Amino acid sequence: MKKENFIENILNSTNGITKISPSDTLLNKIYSKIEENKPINNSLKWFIAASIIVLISLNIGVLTYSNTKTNQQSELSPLMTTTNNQLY
Amino acid sequence: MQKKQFDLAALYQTHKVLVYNVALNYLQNIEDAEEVTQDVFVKIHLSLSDFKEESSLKTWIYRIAINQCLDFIKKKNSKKRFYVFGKKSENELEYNNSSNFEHPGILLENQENAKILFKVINTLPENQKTAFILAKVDGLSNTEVAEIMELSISAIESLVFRAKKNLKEKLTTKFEEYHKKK
Repeated sequence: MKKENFIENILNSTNGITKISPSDTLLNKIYSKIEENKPINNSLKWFIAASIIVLISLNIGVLTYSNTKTNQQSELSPLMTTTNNQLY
Repeated sequence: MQKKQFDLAALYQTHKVLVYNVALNYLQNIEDAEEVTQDVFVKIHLSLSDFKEESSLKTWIYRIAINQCLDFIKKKNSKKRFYVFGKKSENELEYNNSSNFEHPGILLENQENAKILFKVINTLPENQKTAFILAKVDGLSNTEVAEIMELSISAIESLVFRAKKNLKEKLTTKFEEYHKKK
């Protein structure tokens, strides 16, 4: 009998439970969480992609320009070595 | 497809108590319940346009809240395992077994008994725990619980019956232990 009472009292302990409201600041926290999780908009994505492409093409351009310049210099260099001002 | 327009603030005002109390009954910790409530509303905000209206909005929100609670428990358990390097718990819900949670909505004279009840509820298998909390703590009808859990009414009746049977067995053990100590 004692055991049954113990069990019944525990099982019925949630009778008359009242619903609780969350704190008032919770909605603001939700808004800031939504802001944090906001996906980047499409125009920004395209702007970043375009900037990367421009940077890469600029790099390639500079590299090819400097390569042709060094090639021209190396073509001249044998001439430079043979033509000296030494008199024998 | 046109996105459904909705006012998050209004939705929050209507359903905040529902979500918060489900989380509180499930997690038995005020900070955790607030965190899960935030996550539930962020999820609602992100996926309301995908809501197919096959069930009521309330049922859909209940499902999100329960799933979020289960995910939270799993995450917390895995973190705990990572830090402790202990053996894997037999029950995913074991993490809050040690807690001495005092539910703020429970009558003062029932607080001690409710503490024992919540401890024992946490040892139940996931489905039995959900059915018992929704039916017996949250006070929903079996039809509503069946809709939320996407099961038949008879399956819910059986889950609640088994949950009660398990609880009685565990409480019997607790009673015997308590009297041995005395």
